[in-house]
Amino acid sequence: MKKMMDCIRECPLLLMIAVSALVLSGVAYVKVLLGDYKFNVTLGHPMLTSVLLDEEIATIGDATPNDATATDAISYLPEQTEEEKTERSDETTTEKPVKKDDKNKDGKDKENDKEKDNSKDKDNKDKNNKDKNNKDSKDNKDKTNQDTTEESTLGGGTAKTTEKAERPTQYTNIEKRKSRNDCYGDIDKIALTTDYPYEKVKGDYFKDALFIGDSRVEGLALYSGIDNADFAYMEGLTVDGMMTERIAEVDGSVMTLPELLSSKQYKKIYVMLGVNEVGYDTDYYVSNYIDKIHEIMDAQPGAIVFMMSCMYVSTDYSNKDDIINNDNIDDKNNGIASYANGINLFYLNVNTAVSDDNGGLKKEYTWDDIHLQAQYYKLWEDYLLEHGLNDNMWE
Amino acid sequence: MVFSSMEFLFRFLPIFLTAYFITKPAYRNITLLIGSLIFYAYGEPVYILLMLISILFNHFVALRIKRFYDIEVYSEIDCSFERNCWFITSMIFNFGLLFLFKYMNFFIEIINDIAGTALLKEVAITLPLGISFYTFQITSYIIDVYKLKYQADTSLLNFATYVAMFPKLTSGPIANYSDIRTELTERKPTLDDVEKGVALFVMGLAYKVLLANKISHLWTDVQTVGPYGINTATAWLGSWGYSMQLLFDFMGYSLMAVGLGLIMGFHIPDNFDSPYMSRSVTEFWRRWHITLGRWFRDYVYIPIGGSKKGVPRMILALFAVWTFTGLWHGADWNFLIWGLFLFVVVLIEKLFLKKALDKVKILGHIYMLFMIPFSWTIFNMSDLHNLVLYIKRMFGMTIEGSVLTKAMSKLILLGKTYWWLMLICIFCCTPIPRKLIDKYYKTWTCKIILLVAFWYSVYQIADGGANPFLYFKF
Repeated sequence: MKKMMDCIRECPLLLMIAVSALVLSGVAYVKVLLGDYKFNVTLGHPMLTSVLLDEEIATIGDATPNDATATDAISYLPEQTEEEKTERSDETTTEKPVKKDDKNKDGKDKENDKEKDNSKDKDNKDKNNKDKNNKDSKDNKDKTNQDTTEESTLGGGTAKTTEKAERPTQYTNIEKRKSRNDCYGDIDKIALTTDYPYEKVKGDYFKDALFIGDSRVEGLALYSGIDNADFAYMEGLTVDGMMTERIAEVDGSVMTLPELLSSKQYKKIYVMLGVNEVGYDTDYYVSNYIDKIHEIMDAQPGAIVFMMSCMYVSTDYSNKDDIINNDNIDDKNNGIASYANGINLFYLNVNTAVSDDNGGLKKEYTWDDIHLQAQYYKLWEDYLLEHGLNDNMWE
Repeated sequence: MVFSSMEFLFRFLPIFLTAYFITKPAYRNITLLIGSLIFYAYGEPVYILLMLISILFNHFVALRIKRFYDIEVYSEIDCSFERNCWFITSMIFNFGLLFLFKYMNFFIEIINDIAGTALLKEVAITLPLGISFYTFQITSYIIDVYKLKYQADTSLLNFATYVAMFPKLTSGPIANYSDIRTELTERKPTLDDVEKGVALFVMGLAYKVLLANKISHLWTDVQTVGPYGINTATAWLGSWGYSMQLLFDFMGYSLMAVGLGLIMGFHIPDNFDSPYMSRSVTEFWRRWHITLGRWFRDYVYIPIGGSKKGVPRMILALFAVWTFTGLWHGADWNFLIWGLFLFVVVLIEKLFLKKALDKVKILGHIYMLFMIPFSWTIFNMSDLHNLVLYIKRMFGMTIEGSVLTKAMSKLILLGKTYWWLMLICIFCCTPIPRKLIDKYYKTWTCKIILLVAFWYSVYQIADGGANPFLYFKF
């Protein structure tokens, strides 16, 4: 007993750490038992979950980062209601007539087949989604409903502009590459740049353009020759941060993206994101990404949005990392590309300008295996200049 | 399992410490050894065998050497041949393994470069965790036993505990057997030591998590651009950032090791003595990674002749020390170049410069302000092409194809982001924080600050664990 007292008197720091750890852990375990917290296997300790869960819900919304060890990762993906399922199938059927047009024009049966494959893939994905998410809260359902309404309005929008032919994304098939982590699937195709007779344009093309993205876009802002466009970028930007972070600095004032979009009208909006969130499940990432793209399009009805492919990392890096690798990036790119319509939403596969034969960022172009070195941002700019649209697209 | 991980802080450490203090003092070495083996096996489930074999073999050799000395004393038969044989076998065994696992591929690469073709195939082996550290500790023990500095320990348990002790197993300090010899058999842990150990551990943890991990972004940020897009000032800023990262990473880890040792009743030697306050490279290396410098001094520099046998001998000794120091840090060309660079600098200092630097104190600090980041730049980049470009940039030489129009705004951006962190780092480079801890660790103010630092560090680690991309911001 005397010894105990000595311990308490002599080692208060150790004691305080131990006691606070015990209390926090205890509270967390009780909360887990009560069902307030979910035991997160990635962290392996409910205390940490308790410290972090609130924040996680606040910032990441309903995503759980995927980790190789996260066997029991809670799936937060919005549940697909029956409604949406029918919606999606509608979507695929509405695509068919367009395809027929294409077929008549080009007379290429093969492409048609490919398209069929794609829609099949999509259906499968939807099913997977559904299977995955059985235990979700009401909030998510509400959110899904919102999503569906949004999507249907968009569908209406496309119907109005029927005179401009829709140009669905096409894919090139590749040898199947196996997935190395649950956050993405096997890859057997790569999305191509939206099919369009692009024109070579001059630098003034960017005078009414806005670029949004992460540190790679920062590099484009600082080291390419583009000096007449607006940029909204932040290191480590994710899809979630895009709408909330104060990323836009235009004419000296700093603001969030929605503020910028409501204050200035653009004709071209370029987006590159993804490398900071490749660890999330592809389906979640894609739906979240497309939601945000739609928000941008709603705020800027007169603009055409260009989704730039998330840029590869170098082949060396890709081979070493099970999450941050080019297969995963391809999977995510394929997902967002499938929403491009060639009317007001384009997909640009920027990677064609900077990759090597192995489908990775060319080693000599990069120093840290992830970013272009300053002098090579010109390649990216040149690619964008070669992929200009004809003015009548905005009419 | 690194010290700054959730597994260590909230699983291994509490369980281990409870077990350790429940055990009767006489059996605590067993608990410590088992704990250390579990700690090692968690990271190296296969190579733990290598370490165990190494321990067993070297213990056997030490006993043989001791036995031949005993025979000599009692029967006056000259056994120096047997002794030498065992000693040399042990050296070949220890350094052979180190060579095989650490330098084989580098060696093969050199041979292939000379031959011009792929003459030899690279072997597929990975570097066993902590092999550089435990090899140096084992060899120091064998050499000391051979030189009769102290008697070999007859207890395998003691020797194994000395080598495998988890606080210093993976990243040092390279404690000599004589440092902890008495404490291995009989240590009298006081509660005061425990408390101080906790304080040092928390301080180390905060250095690692709150300073090193944070300031590391500065260097990654410079790296994203490459030498073509930065100006000279940014190049230096990046190198300073990297220097800070390196210091707090390593110093933090060493402090944690010393703290853990104290909690268990061991006085593991300090590894850092505010190295960035040095006024010459020679002094710097007496204050940076002290235990490694001591190893090279005792077992390379002095045996070759040191500074007492004339200038040519000294040059040879320095050359050997710095070549090996370079290679010890890694098997690559840049480490070799780095070691040779330090050799030249230390030599120049010893011959001429030291006198001048000693006269004007401020001159020494300014000199080191550039020498430290410059030497770490060589240390840092194993891609020689980039290294040359970066050094060119540091010295303001022109690089063809640079894009420098926005280089200034990048510098301003970096400065705006990191100035306060840099200031904290500079403050922590001085001996003041450590002195404050040593003096005030018993006061409640200090305890509360440390408690907050601990939980803030834990929060940061957990945040990084929950979000694997926290340290991955592009």
